[in-house]
Amino acid sequence: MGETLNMDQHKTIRGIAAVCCMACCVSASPVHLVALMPVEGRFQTVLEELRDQAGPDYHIDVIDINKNPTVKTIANQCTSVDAAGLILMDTKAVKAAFELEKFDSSFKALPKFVFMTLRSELVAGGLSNTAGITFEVPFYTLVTNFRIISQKDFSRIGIFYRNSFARSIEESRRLLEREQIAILAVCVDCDQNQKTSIENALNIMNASLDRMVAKDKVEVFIVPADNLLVNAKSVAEFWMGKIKKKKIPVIAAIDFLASEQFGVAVFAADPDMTQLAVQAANLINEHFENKKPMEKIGFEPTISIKSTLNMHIADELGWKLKNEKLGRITTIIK
Amino acid sequence: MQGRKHGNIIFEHVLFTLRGNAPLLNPNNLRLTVINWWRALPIVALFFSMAYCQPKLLVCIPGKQNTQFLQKGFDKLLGPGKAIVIGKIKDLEDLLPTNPDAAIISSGAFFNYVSGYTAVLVGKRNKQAYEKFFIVTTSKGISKETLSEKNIGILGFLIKDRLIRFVYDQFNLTITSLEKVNKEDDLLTMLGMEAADAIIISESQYNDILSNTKLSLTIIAKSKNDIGFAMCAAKEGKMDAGLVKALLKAPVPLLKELGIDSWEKP
Repeated sequence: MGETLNMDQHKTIRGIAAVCCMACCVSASPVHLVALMPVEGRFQTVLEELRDQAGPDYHIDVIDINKNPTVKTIANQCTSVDAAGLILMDTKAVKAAFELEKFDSSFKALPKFVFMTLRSELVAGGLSNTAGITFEVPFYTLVTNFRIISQKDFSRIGIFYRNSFARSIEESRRLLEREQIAILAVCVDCDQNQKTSIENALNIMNASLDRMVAKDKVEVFIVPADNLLVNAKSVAEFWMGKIKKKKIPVIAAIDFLASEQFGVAVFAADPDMTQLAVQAANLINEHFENKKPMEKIGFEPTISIKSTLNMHIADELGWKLKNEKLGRITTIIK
Repeated sequence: MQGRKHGNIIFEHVLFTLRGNAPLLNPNNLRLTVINWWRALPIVALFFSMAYCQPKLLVCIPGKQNTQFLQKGFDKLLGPGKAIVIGKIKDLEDLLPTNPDAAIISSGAFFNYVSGYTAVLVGKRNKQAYEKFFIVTTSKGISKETLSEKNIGILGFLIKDRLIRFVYDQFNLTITSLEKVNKEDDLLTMLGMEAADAIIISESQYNDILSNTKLSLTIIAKSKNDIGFAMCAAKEGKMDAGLVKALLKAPVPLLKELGIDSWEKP
């Protein structure tokens, strides 16, 4: 009797243990995410840091978008791991997500996080349930970081832009006003009668320069990451030619422009990939842990930058810097 | 083949010894082990290096992104391999169980949430060892009462759960939407870009930010307690006397990178 009871007790305990174990496994099972991304270089850096930041509560599977997976492969992978969300890195990945939604409309409900994609908000426009981080270095960050290291307290910034960037210019204008900095902007393709071309853009830049410097009192120019404004012709003729002669510092949202080879910009910045992953993990946590809806999260700007300062150009321009603030610069070219 | 086999036996024995359940070695295997001792040498060396070459000091001051500079500085001060400088607090936490005897240099806030460590040296700046933390905003519409629903930026000087506790302990606020950053420069950017409604910063960070911006900043809350700058602590306050002596002689540039002017015994 005693033995039977013991056996029953054993079974009961084992049963309870099994149920507990299952319950634990269910409650502790990680959130499965599928990342569509190029498996290379800086994308990998961001993925690794994202995994580290997100911790064991998340499991991220990867599909190499450069291997051109079929929409069916992506759908099967998402279904097989019971994906709770998609991470989309690069334009190609966003396009694949559009295909996925067309292939099976049930994927529309899946949260989609867009990272490391140029003009991400625009590219992902029309995709359901998205949030993300815009990949370009915001002009606000570029300008304020340059002012922090500069001895001269400038307040008037010149910029050339194309019409499709108008919203971003207006947003920068609003944010920089709070820092008492004005943006003087010239659109290079707003004239409906003219074709958008590198030549026409360059003509407008050349025609506006004197007025911007003499009348608008522009003290610093920004070079946006746009091939209409930065190309072999404009670099040689305008940025390295006319602007240099005027001894006005140029700051760029693309770090190679401050490199020794190019020497266009005195100061430049790129997104800090490691910190981008920290920011991305914050977004993912906001949705899955704090239950914040994707539309409320929306797209936020890249916060952290890696900056480059070209001291040769600063010396050439006679632009004085605050030595005590140079510790915040990632790379100083001496 | 035999050599590899007996190398494995030694390795297994080392593992079992570490786990505290070493089986008795077969004398025949022992004889062969002696013959093939050189094959097991790297494993034995690894064992001894694990036992005797553990770092004496772990350093983690998040926010400055100066780990390389600090590492070089501590290598010069203490000798190579004696200190490990870590950038992220999570990585420091991961190292604690395997380095129980190592002293730690980190922020005062860190030691408020890690049990068993006692301060051996306290970092001072402008003759002060402690400072307040503030909640700062640029928005006039935000008050302490409305903060719990807002996005708050904070430096990752503690792991996430402890940051939430820190905010509760110091400001009596339960905020789950803490946006952690690893670079202190990013806190101002978050405010300026309106990516955060408010930020939590130390008094010294606040003063630094004031010199970097024309944004109109408002302090809406101050921490209940003063929080220590960098501190050096060890389990039960037991720290190698030579290490204490060396740290007291740390050069000014190294101390500056830790955010302090000098070390003092508490």
